[in-house]
Amino acid sequence: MKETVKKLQKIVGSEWVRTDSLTQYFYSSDVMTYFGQGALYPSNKPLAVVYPGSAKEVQAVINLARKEEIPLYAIGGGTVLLIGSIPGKNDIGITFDFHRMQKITVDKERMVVRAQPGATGLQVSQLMREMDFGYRPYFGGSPGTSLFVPYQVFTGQNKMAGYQDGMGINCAAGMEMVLASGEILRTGSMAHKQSPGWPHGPGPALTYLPFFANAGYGIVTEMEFRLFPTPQEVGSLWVTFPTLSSACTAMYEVMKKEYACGATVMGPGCWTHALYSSQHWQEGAHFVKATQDINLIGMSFRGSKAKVAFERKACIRILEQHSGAVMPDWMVAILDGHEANAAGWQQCNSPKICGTFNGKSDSGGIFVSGGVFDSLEKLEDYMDRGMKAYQQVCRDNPEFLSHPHPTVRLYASCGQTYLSMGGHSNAAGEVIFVVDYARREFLPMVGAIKAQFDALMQEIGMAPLGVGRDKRTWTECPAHFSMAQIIKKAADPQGFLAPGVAFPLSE
Amino acid sequence: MTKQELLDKALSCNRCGTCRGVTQDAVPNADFSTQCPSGMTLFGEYEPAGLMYIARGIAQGDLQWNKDLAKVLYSCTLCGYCDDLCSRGYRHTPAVTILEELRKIVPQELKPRSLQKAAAAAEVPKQHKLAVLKNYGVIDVSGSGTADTILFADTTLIANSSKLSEIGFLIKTSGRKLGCFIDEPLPPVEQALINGGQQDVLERCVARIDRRLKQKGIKKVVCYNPESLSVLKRFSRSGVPFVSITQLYAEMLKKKSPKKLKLSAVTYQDPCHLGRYAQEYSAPRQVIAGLGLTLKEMWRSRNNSLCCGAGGGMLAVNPQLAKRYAANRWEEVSATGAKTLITACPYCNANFRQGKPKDSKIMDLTSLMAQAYGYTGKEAGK
Ligand SMILES: Cc1cc2nc3c(=O)[nH]c(=O)nc-3n(C[C@H](O)[C@H](O)[C@H](O)COP(=O)(O)OP(=O)(O)OC[C@H]3O[C@@H](n4cnc5c(N)ncnc54)[C@H](O)[C@@H]3O)c2cc1C
Ligand code: SF4
Ligand code: SF4
Repeated sequence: MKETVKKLQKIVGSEWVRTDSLTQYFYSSDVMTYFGQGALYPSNKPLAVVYPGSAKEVQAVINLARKEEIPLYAIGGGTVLLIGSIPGKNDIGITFDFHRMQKITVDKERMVVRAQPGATGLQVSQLMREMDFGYRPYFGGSPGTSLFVPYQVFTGQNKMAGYQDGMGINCAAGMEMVLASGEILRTGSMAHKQSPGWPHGPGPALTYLPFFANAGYGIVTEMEFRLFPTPQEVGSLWVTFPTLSSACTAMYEVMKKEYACGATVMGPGCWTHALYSSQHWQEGAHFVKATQDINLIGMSFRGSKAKVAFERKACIRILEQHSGAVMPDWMVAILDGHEANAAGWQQCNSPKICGTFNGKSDSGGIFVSGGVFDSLEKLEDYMDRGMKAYQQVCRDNPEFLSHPHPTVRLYASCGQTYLSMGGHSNAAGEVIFVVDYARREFLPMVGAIKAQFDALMQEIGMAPLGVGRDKRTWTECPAHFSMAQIIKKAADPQGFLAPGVAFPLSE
Repeated sequence: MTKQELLDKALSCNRCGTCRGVTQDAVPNADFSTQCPSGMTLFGEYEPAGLMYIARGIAQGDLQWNKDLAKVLYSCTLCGYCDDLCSRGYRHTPAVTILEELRKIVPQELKPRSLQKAAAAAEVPKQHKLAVLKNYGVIDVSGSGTADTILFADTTLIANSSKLSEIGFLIKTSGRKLGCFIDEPLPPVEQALINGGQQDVLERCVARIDRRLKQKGIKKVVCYNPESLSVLKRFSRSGVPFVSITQLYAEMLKKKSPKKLKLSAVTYQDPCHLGRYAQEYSAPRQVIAGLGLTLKEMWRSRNNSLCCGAGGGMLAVNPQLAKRYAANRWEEVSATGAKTLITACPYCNANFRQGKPKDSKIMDLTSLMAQAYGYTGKEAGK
């Protein structure tokens, strides 16, 4: 390895290759590899971490790794929490960290933003807001997430896969990617200097190639995203319901009419939104506890003034027919914390935010959410009720499960981490359960809770929880996965790009 | 702190990466949208989450102390940004407490030499120059003299006759009656003891200071060095208010007009220990306005201010790295268009001198005040 390190140093500079014990430790684990007493996944150390400064350096490292048959892994923002950036096995690979590559440029003519993989979503949003030329990108998740592939890989396989424009992978317009062969591929809007900023064209329609592959097809060095106009008017609506089922039914009525965007159902005490929306986690947690018995729908509207007013009114009418009651302003106010939140949280599961940035109603979701619990009994009772309500909705509306963009999602999250963040990658619904993270006695129970969820998911015919090397089905459809494996073989015949993450580790 | 307590605290950080960025809604230049001097320069484990991983690893026994860990630990300037930002956002990782604990438990042999001698910083030097203050009518409260308000003499001031002279001059000009422990100075405490992991020594020194403040019935203490202000505010149990000298200047400007200074636009560095730690953001700005200067704020200012790079003892531990950090900040200074950078901290001042662009200058707020009231420097010798 010493010789390889020397060669790497020659490529990226000696300061930008690290092999010390702390580096290895840092890049071997995330919250999924440490969860209270029981790790959900093993932490696998990389042999070295390299910090490339350019696409050329990435290319040289790939060429070296291919020759020396060393697996390569990649980390962007490092916030994915899903072991996606952790080597498939201990002491086998080299990890790319892209933090030296943070360049962002905005092309107002073509209405695209171009960024390197180390730039964060927050940075781009800030830059765009400063320009204030009426077009904005939207990036969800933690502000520290990197902008492109990693973020898209994650959100693509998660919550935002369903949104149709302006968000998630759907606004990707082009990319530059170094393939396993060392060849640089430029797609879509980046295929040519004059390529317009349309998604899908006119370059090779391969812009979506690396998504879902967790660095398994190639390493992306730059990407372009299309910008969307900021709506003239934005509004939100929050309505409470006597039961979770009435909320789910009402929600589906709204969705069928294609009104609103980012519409979300949240079960009793489910206000995970409040956790994000309030200025402080603690404040949010208290709020959630105080609202344990609320069944809620949140949604937003965007477009012209007249459209927003019309849709809002129409939704109120539909929701009231199902016993919904519009929430008082003081309660809604807490959600405004979202925008005011100094830390710049931009959760995509905030309907208001979704509305601001181009979410579309036909891909809205029903999040049957959990709450902050202070006893395991309450949590179990909760899971039970949530799951039953969810199953009922599925029985009543079979199309939920067959919809190409899952309209209902199901996931459980526990404490400060998202226990099943991976689980919902291919699930068609989500139930969010948040355990009060301050109560450490819950941590040892995580394994049991997860097992319970696995069983329930299987019972209702959904993919098991836990993305990653052991559980990942990658897509609900086995045919899709076989297809992905064929592409993998063609793109990376040696299988040295991220083995053991999205694709199995070859023996 | 037990290992379990350290682990509990370290696990608050889920590596969300929020503290990499600044919190403003909009930024004019992506280069100014990152934070953490060590993280934004060296990335990965040098980011706050990396330091939290050291704590996690040490507490769990996954990591053993070695020079690589120490290198990362001592690349952090203890600027406090991560701690502050994390509490403004979604979690609250008590990063400063964790970082200070790590500096306490790191084996002595891994401590940089300059920090191994940190305790010496709390000793009064034999050749102190505090008598200069007597020339300006400052009352020595170590003897029979009494005063409600005293000036605190820290390590950077106690033997610095020219700075003492400027301050003495300003006190005299203000017409205020101030005292100082001149013949028998107080331990000149500041952050150095925390940087060196010797909080116990610091606490003992502050307890001694408290006793003497009580004996003398002191009602207020004015600090020149923000690092002294911040540790006295944190550790004193005396109930006596500790204030920044910039407050004194701001009051003075309200009562007595200064002479017009010939300076084009200026910018101001919020020192971490004056701003984030002591929450003093307004007095220095009032002083700048009172002096009739046009302030062009840097993008990262007030509680989002970027550390100059000297904190955590960096200037002594690794001056080259401190210079690299300062270069980050100089870029932002230049972007404001201001040619003068004003600081209110002796360490910021010293570090900014490293790598200063030729066409820029650095001014200490105290020197600027002294100039504005006609101080020529000749007074120092008297
Ligand atoms: C507190 C918190 C709240 C969140 N809330 C939400 C939310 O509300 N909605 C939501 O959708 N998400 C949410 N997220 C998840 C967030 O969106 C993901 O963490 C994020 O998308 C991951 O981006 P990253 O840059 O950190 O990825 P990383 O962890 O760095 O990488 C992700 C994957 O991409 C691969 N990769 C990295 N770089 C490259 C490259 N250059 N080329 C090819 N492959 C690469 C990696 O190997 C890895 O498999 C949240 C996360 C946190 C921590
Ligand atoms: S210190 Fe706080 S803000 Fe920074 S990465 Fe950790 S949890 Fe996030
Ligand atoms: S205290 Fe400052 S330098 Fe240290 S890790 Fe936090 S932000 Fe970085």
